[in-house]
Formats: sequence, C-alpha cells, structure tokens
Amino acid sequence: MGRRRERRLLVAALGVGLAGPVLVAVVNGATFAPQPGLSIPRVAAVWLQMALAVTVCHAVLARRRSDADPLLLPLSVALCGLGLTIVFSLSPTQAQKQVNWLFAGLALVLAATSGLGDLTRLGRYAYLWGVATVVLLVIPMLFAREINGARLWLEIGGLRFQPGELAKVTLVLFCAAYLASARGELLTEEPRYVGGLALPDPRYLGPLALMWLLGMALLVVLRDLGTAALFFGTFVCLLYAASANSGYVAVGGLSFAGGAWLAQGLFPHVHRRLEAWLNPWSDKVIADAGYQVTQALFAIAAGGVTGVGLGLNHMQRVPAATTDLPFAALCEETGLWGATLVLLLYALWVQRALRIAVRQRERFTALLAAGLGCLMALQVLVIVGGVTKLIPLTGITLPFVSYGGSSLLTNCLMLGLLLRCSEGAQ
Amino acid sequence: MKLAQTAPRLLLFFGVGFALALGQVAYWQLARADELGHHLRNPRYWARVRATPRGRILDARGRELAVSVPDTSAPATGDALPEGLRRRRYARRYPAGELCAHAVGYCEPERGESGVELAMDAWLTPPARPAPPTIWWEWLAPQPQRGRDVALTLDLDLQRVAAEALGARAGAVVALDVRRGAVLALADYPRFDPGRVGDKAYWDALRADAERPLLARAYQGLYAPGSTFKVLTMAAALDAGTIAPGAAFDCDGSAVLAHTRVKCDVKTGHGQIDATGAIARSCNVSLARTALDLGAARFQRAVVAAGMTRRLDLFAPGAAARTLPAAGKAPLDQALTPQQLAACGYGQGALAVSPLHLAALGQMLGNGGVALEPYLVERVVSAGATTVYQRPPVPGRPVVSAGAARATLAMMQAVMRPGGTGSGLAGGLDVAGKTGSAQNPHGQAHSWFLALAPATAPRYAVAVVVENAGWGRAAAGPVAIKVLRAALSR
Repeated sequence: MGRRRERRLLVAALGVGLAGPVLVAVVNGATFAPQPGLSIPRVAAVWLQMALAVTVCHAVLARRRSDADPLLLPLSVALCGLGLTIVFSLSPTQAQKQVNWLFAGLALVLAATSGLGDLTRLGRYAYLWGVATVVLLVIPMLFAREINGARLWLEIGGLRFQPGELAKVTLVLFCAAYLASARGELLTEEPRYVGGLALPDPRYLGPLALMWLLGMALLVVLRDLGTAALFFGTFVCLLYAASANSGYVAVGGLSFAGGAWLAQGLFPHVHRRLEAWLNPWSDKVIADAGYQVTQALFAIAAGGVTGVGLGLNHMQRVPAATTDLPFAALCEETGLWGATLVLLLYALWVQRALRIAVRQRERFTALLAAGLGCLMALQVLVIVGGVTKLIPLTGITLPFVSYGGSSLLTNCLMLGLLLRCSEGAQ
Repeated sequence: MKLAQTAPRLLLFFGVGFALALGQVAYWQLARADELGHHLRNPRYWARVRATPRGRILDARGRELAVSVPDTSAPATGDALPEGLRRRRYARRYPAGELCAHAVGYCEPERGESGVELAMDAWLTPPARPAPPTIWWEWLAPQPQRGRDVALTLDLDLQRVAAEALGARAGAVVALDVRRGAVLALADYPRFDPGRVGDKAYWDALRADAERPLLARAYQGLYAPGSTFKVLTMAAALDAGTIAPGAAFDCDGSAVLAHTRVKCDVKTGHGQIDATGAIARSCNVSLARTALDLGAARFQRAVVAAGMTRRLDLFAPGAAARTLPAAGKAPLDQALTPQQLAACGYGQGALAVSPLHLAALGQMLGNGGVALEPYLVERVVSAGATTVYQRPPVPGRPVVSAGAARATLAMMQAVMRPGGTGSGLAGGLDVAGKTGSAQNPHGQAHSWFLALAPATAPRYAVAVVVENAGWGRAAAGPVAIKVLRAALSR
C-alpha cells in the first residue's frame, strides 16, 4: 500500500529535518535555555511545526485512500529538512519564517490534490495560462521596488512575494495545454528532414520564436539570465518531450545562446555577469560581480570529500546565502557525499515526475507532469551549475532547500499538481 | 504519444547534467582546494587565524615576540555573526611592539601576513585535526590543538641596541653570529607596529607612506654596496693569486681603465699604496685594477659563490611557501665588459644587494672564507614541549681560501687604524671594518659600514646601511660599532 510506504519514508525524512538542525545548534553551543537565535527548544519547536504540517498532509492523503506517488512527498520533506539545517546554520532567525511558509506550501499541496478535481479541465485554458504567465512577469516590472539590482519582488502588507516564481507553473500549464491542443499536435507531427537533420516545419516555429522573445525580454528587462534560461529551457524540453524531435533542442539551444551573446554585447549588466563567470578572480571582479561565486567556490573547496561538519560553514556574512547559495553551504558542511546525496534526491524526484508522465492516459496531464519534472531538473541545474561555476551564477533558488516563501510555495504547488496527476494512474 | 520514448532520454539528459555539476563540485573540492583555501579573500583562512590559538614567536632567550590571546573585545559591526553563532576568538599581540616588525612580521585578518608569521605559517597554525587523545574518553570531547612555538635566533636586547643606534634614519642593521650564521639582530627603519595593522586608518597610512615602512629593508631592500664590496674583490683576487698582499698600486686620483675614467674620492690621489692601503683608504683605482686583473669569469664566480645574487634562506628551509628575502642583483647573464668589471670591482655598476647579503659577506670572511647560510629560525617546539624542528648544523660553503680571508680581514683591520677611512671609530674595540658610500640616483650616497669583531677571531659580523647619509664612517660606522660593543658584552 502506497501510503504505508510513504509513512515509513516520511519518518526517515523528518529524522533528517530533526537531526540536522539539532546538530547545527549543538555545534554552535546552543543549550536548553531558551535564548534568541539558536537554542534547542527553538529548534525543537520549529521541527515540531514541520512534523505537524507533514503529518496532517499525509493523513489527509491517507484518509482519501489516495494512490498518489508515495515517494514525492518524503523526497520533498527530506529536502526541506536539509534546507532547514542550512538555514539554521546560516541565519537561525529565518528558520521560523521558513516553517510558516512550509505550512502554506503544504496547504497548497492539499488544495492541489483534493480540490482540483479533474485535472484535464485545466488543459482547456491554454491562453489563460499564457496571459497569466506574461502578467505575472510584467506586474513586478511595473510595481516592484528594486532590490539587489533586480525588480522581482512585490510587497503586499509586509509580505514579499515574487510573482515570477508562480509564473514558472503557469508557463508549464500553458505549454502543456498548448501542445496538447489540436494546434499543438500539428507542431509535434513528423518533422521534415533537411540534409539528414530533422528540422521543424518553419510554419510552426512561430511559438518557438515567441518564447525566445519572452526569454530575451526577461533577460533584458528583469536582468535575470537564470529565469530566462529556466523559462526557455522548460519550453524547449516540453517541445522535445511531445515531439521527440531533437531539432527543436538544437534550434532552441543555439538561438538562446546567440541571443544571450547579443545581449551581453548590448547590455552592460549582462556583460558583467558573463565577465564574472569567465574570470571572477581578478581584483576588481572578486570584490564586485564575482563576489558571490568566489565565496561559493571557497565554501565548496573548504568542504572536501567529507565536509567540515554541520553548522560549521563560513558563509554567514555572504549576502543572499540562504536564498542563492545554500548548495555551497551544504557542500562545505557535508562535502562531496552531501552534494551527491542531494543531487540524487533531486534526480529521484525528476525520475518520479517523468514516470508519472509516461503513465498518464491524457495528453495534457502527461505533458504537465513531464513539464513539472523538467522544470524541477532545470532549476537545480541552473543554480547548482551557477554555484559551481559551470555556467554563469544567477539568483535562482534551490527547490525546497533555499530560504524564500515564493519559491517554497511554487515548488509545493508543483508537488501538489504532480501528486494529483499520479492519482489513479498507478 | 511520444513520451514513452522521450522521457527516458530527458532523464538521461538531466542525469548527465547532474553528473557534470557533481564533477565540478569534486573538481573544486579535490583539485583546487589547497589554492582556494589560502586565497586572501577567503574568510575561512582568517576565521582560522581568529578561532585558533596560534603558536608563539620567541626570541633566543625565550622572550615573547608574538602571542595569541583570547579576544574579549566586541567584534566590529560588519564582522558580527548572526545571533547565536558566536565563536571563540583570538587576537595576535606583539609585546615587542615596533622593534621586531620586519623580522617577526604581522598576521592580521584581511591584511595578510609577513616575516616569520608568513614564512612559518604552517607551523604556527594549529593542526586542523584535534589533538590525539591520551585516554579513550577524550574522543568524546576532542580538544583543539595549539599552534607550535617558533624560537628565533634574534636577541631582543641586541635588537633594541641596533634599533636605537639607527634611530629615526631610513636604513637597516643586520648582525650575524659568524660561527653559526644565526641572525642576532635584524633592525630597520622606517618600520611599523604589527599590533596595529588591523586598524584601517593606520594600515592605509602605512600603504600610502612614500617611505615604505612595510618594506623590510634589512632583507628586502636592495642597495648598491659601494666600497664595502671591495673586500670581496680583494678576497677573490687574493684567493686566485692574481694579486699579492704586498702588491703596489699607483693612484693619481683618477685613471683611464678599459676606456673609462675611474675616479677616487681623494682628488689628489692616494699616491704609492699597497693592497692593504688600497682597502684601508678605499682606493677605487686600485680595486678597479684588481678586478680587471682577476678577470670577469672569476669575479662573477666569487660573487655567486658568496651568495650575493641568491635569495638567502633566512627562514627555515622548506618552511617558507613564499620566500621573502630579495635576491641580490649582479650582471651575470653575459661576460662582463671591462668597464662594468672595473665599476663592480669597487661596488658600483649594476650591483645591488641587501644589508643581509653584506652581513653574510662579512660572516664568510670572518669564518675563514666559509659561508654559512644566515638563518632566523632556531627551533620549533610543539605544544607538548617536544622539539619538532631544530636547525641542523649546515656544512658551510667555501668561497675563498682561509688564507685569502685572513689576509682580507687584516686589511679591514687597517681600515680602523690611523690613516684608514674608519680611523678613530672603534674607540678601543678590536674591530675589522670597511666603509662604503654608494652612489645612487636618489640623492646623497647611502652610508654603508661592514664590521667584524673581535678582529683576530671574529664572532660577530654587522652590516649597516643608512640611506642618503653620505660617508660610511659618518653615519653607518658608529651604528655598527655600538651594535658590536653590545654584542661583545653579551
């Protein structure tokens, strides 16, 4: 029975979430005496709240006798536990806020699994999702204050929210709905072969060009190479998933690289990012645009194979470490083994998503599940690749691990949609 | 539906991406860890300095020159860790203050390290692993190790005498133990207070100062050696047999040698003098002749053998990852032209050496022509009081024969007698010396003095330079005599 399996795995996942923060607290000299910041009662309180939320979520699924995938929730909870560990060792005061967001996130999971009913209905509103994506992306450009050189956050009643995060999900919904529609099906028909290469029909390159334009607009207006790559990458992956035509991947990849190259020539902020990637070590860059990536590399290098130990990272003074660089802190504390473990957890999450996609009967839900899997994988690749200097570093969150409400809510929504997809398809 | 076909491929694609990222993590953690770990911008390096009790630096008699003490001061605002993450901190104190600044150096977060602090960093820093337990339950609460103590050859008393004798004049004093090669005093001016380096305003002022107080003149400053170098020319010529101690020279005050005019400081000339007189009265014409007779190849060989062009191993060999002493400069790359050879013969031309080089030259002459590498680090003692490094007796490098060294030393004694350039300086002390005034493009000549005592069986060699202070006997001479007097009464 799936739910029993889920329960056993959840116990292990919650164990991670308890042991990690407690070790961090002990290493940093916390005692049972309640004190601001880090103390064992505080850690215990935070963990109990997480355990309560997760238990309720599991109990609701069990009561509905849901046959949803039993691995996805424990995997996500384990990642959340690792995230709490890192947040506790970087900035203990943020841990309580993170758990508050987790409550909201798990409520969203329940809402998505129990409240959505027939998922295929969502597939009828392709253009609604498309418009929603654009609106969600445009809102912050119009109303948001500039924070850290980017206009991404919307502030309502003291709560900061990043609408762009939610736009990731509406984008996947749009792509899945569009490709599942009659028009989209044409797009994924047999390709034309030009010189042995399967090229998409020029007539159907329109959507590709449109998405490319959206990606470029994101790049230029939002000053966000990472989000642009994420959106465009998810779209291309889904296009490939639906059509099995690797020509799309080639055309998409080349055109994005070309666009990025053009953009770095035209816009100084993109150029600085690129420079900081190619050589962050020079005296001028290391104090400025290359600061984050070099600090991340110092942290990773300090970890070695086994890590320096939980709670002993030296990234507390690096700005935005809890949102952008938790992977580096994790590498420092737990070393190569920890990094391997975390990437394996993500790989398993993506594998479950794609497995769910393959088992769908409906074209829309299949593409939706595949899209959510691709989105998860790309998020991890963009930030982990950036932190390790494989690609330019951009401020993308590490799903479930990074501190940040919008990101956690969005990832929980993805989890909820996937669980709903998997119900009845096992 | 094509998902059954494409999903495994997508998974494979993402898997390859994850593997690449993991490979990159491994690359930084395994291949580049050491380099990044020592990067000046890496806060971990300084956190280690702050968080661990670094070893002490001691003088020859066990007096503390640098010590780590628990830091009770509140951390600077930008420095504060988030609530609940405060750890124990240590600060570095220098009880001798400015006195040993360039020998001991500084060790300060965000500033870096210098001197012994830099060269012996690997020994001073506590081992990363906790101390091995002596009884099983210590495994449960491992104790951090203390850094190892580094004992120097420096004598704080002599160092103080040297610094006071030099006063507030730009220059340097180096005193060596002739029979061991040990550095007994290494003083220079301008200097700085290593305990205040953390103070941003003080640090910026040091860096902006045109006098360059951060430059360790004693072993990093390069100067033309001037007439003090004549003793090497003479010793090499005596050793090669191209000149006899009784050889006669005729000096008119200037002479055309190798198509260039060589001038003496005495305009009317020294007249008829022998080799001893040429050294005692510092005759450029005679020494230029001596160098030309010796020949370029043999002269160059002697300069190299005496270590004048090398980075001297001032710190324990192998301990210094980044060697600090400057290498001397001499035209070695091709055969010297006769003009260059003549100029180098009396210490001008393209020659440049540090005061440490010159003191080493004096040590070699005092030790029967056998050069001993000058060294500053005597031993390293671990926290458990076991000696983990002791300077081994190093076999000397013979540079000139004992006879040639003894003869040169006798000539240097004549310098201090009436008629010599250093007459009246010694004040009853049994000293062998050599004056020098090095022409340089920065104004008045640098005042040099090289001295050994006791002259008949030298135990101490002292080299002094005072920048832009004119004649050797005027500025540098009295400093060297004061240091030797203090050394002899140790």
